[in-house]
Amino acid sequence: MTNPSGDRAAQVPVEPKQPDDLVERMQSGDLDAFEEFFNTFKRPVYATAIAITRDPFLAEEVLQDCFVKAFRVRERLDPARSPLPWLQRVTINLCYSRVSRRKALAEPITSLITNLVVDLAARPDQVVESREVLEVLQRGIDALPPKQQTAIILYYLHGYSLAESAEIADCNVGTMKSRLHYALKALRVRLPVERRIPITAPGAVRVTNR
Amino acid sequence: MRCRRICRELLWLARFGEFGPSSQPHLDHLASCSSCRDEVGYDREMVRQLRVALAARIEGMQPSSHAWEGILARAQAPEPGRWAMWWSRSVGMIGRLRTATAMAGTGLALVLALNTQILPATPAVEASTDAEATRLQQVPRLPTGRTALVVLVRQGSGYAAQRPDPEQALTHAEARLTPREAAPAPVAEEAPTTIQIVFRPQQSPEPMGHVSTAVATTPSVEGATQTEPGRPS
Repeated sequence: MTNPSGDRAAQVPVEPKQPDDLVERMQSGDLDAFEEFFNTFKRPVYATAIAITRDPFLAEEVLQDCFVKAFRVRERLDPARSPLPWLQRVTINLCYSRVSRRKALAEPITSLITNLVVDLAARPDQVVESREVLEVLQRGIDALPPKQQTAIILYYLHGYSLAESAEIADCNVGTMKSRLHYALKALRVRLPVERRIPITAPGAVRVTNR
Repeated sequence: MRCRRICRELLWLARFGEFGPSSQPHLDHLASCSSCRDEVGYDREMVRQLRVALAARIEGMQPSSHAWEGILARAQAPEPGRWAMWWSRSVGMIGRLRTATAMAGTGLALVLALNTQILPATPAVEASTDAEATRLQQVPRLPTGRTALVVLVRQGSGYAAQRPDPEQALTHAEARLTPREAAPAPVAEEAPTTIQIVFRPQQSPEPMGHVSTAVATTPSVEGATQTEPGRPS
């Protein structure tokens, strides 16, 4: 289910456990089933919303809109398939329709707090450098076009496979690869040469000639 | 060049985990080329940092405990009727269209204003005969609002600039132009045009250079300055 590229740093479960008849019970108007549906899928939906908007209040608005819409169109949901790709697609669309109205995204308080809390175990120069790289990457992610940003979030944050990401983004696998490629290229360009990640970092490739 | 291409393909393969039996040449190259190894290593490290950056975005973030209550309240609320939804959509669309129409209208007005040059209407020339009228219609009309007619008249040892009746002088100058000369009318320049009409007596062919400096002559209309010696133009 997860993509094969390296270790995952994200913690979002890709496919939450879903009872078989959950959608059917919800379709019959059972509000308890709807609450279960919400509790099952709220985390990945909220994670997508917060990753795109970076605003907890806006993300919660998107979350509410998404689930209200799911309840209203519950008759059209296919019980045989997971509703998560559909929920993610609705979330992404809602996020970008709201973000485009509010061009200037204020830096959320949580990121300020994260910046203040440093890893005391690490060397100060490493902490500063690492934080700077992360800040450059965060700004780079924000600056990406919406389609590339969506691809990055689905593939690297949620860990969806290429096929799943492509299904959510409503494109084919080749297009998804292309979006990821150009997104990484853009991020790579943004990293200044002097702030580039050292090659000797733990993730560096070690190849032995076979 | 080959190394760069292999490196690009290696990056692609490494990013999407698509190494297979056909990737053996790439892996062999990777083992022998430190530059490509650095590139792929750097890319992997960047992806790792990217994952950390993305995870930091959602770290500790949870929907509030009131989220479910809000969703339940909205889900149980009566759905807006079809007409109400249609009305709200229409109002939104009209609002967007109104803005778009205003912007398009402003843009069109700006384009028209910047590309339209308002010229003063040329006075009607009364011609006694049809032939005269036809001949005058082939003569280009100089924009009188941008044209300064100056006649230099010899007075004693120097020349004095006089402004004659522009209608007469212009008609006289135009009448001297042949239709072929008059066909292209380069009157679209922004700079003001000064036509110099010089009275040059035959007895004293004094050069004009030392006296005409007081008069702006750029750009001049050649047809109007070609004068015959001894005859006023």
